[in-house]
Amino acid sequence: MIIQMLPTLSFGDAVSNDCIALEKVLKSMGFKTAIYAAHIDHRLPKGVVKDVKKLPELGPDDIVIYHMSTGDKLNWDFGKLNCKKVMRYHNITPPNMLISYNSDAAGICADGLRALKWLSDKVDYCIAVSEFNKNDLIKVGFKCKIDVMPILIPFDDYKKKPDDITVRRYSDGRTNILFTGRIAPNKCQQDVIKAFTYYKRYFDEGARLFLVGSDLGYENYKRKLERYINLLGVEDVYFAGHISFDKILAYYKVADLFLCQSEHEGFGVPLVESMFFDIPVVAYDSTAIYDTLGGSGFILENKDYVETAAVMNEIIKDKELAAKIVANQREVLKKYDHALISEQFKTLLKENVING
Amino acid sequence: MEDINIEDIMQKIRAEIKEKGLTDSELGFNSVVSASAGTGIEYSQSRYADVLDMADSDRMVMSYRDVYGNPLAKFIKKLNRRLIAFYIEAIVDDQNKYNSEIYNTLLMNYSRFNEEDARLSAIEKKLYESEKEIERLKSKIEELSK
Repeated sequence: MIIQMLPTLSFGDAVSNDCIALEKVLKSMGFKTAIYAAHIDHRLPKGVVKDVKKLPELGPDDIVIYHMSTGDKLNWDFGKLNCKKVMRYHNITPPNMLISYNSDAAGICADGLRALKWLSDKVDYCIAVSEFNKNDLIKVGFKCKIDVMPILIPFDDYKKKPDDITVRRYSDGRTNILFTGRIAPNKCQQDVIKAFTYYKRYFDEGARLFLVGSDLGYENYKRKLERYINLLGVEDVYFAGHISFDKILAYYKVADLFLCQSEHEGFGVPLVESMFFDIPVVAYDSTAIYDTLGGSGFILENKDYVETAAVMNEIIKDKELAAKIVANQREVLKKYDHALISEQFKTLLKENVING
Repeated sequence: MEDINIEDIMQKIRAEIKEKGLTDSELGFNSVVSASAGTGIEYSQSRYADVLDMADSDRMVMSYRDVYGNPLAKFIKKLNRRLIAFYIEAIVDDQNKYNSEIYNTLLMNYSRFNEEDARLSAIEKKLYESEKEIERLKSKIEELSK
């Protein structure tokens, strides 16, 4: 039996989506498998995941793939299991980035990092979602074999019909700048807003900025962002919130540029999504962002807001430059091909876990 | 991969910025005052509105519920309810009156929050604009006194 375990199976988050996608691969390999979670989002269809309290007795030949991305009691329980233990490491947000806005979340992440260190000699094999994450595991003291396999993204879902109303509303010739990601301090939406302010002021007064993502747990950070927007006097900044998938697709459809100023990403699914939708990405070089973009996009080495605004203008104005960026992104996108990653997953399991 | 010389582009951009005199003169995010993090339920305007909507649909308590069961059980239940109806209905009426009063108070609070938020936003913005103007005038005075 191979099962997957994680603290929380949410609706629409990268870790959960990766877990669900990997389950399909496991089933296609003919394994008896299931997903167990301690906290289950009520919006998920019934039967997708089981309560971890109903975890069956596991033996030395059973395999648990544990998705680690936060602090939870389950991290410690995982380490005590008597079976083959595989960790899929998504990274844990550094607590210092969150403490000013949510001390509970910061505490949870701190506990997660402590558990990660404790697990360093208890896990048999790791599959990190990025080279950056692999290096983090090595720094913490993991001695087992660590391979890198990107998040398995079901690109077929992105071919679904986007929300018509949103597309029609914003396809009016004005420039649309997009950032997708939870409204959270490590994503640094304030830097996106400031760069956009200068872009709008100095280059393109009709531009709009869409910030798509939920503020759950960081409502005070979002309020501070709103006050910042008010003080800067910048208009046309829209918080889309936690929206349906077809609306997310719509924002990607109308976007002219994706601007990322995040200071912590374990992978950055929205970067790959932007590549899929042929949206030029401008991103600050931090953590796993360069790895995920694979050298494509337009990487910024520092956060100079006026320079960032000028880069945005350069890309939007210069169609040839934008086309080159998109061409490079399409080239990198090939390595995230669903079939390719699925095969990689099967190979890694066979070589390191099933026959190992 | 197509060759994009980022360094060349950045040099061109920096020259353009210098030539046009474009500056980063706005305040930093850390200068925005905000309440420190704590535990508990954070205020969210959209969620406050959602909860008000839910409270509105739940605030009327019904004194009567549907009766289920076989005919004899239904008859007995209905008889019991009729016998104590005078007592239950009075309590439910009081509860509904109280619920309405509380709900209306919450609505007033919500309006007040929104008004105060808008007022404070406008004041904060005026203050910031004034501070910027003061800095600008200070620079000008310094220039003139040289």
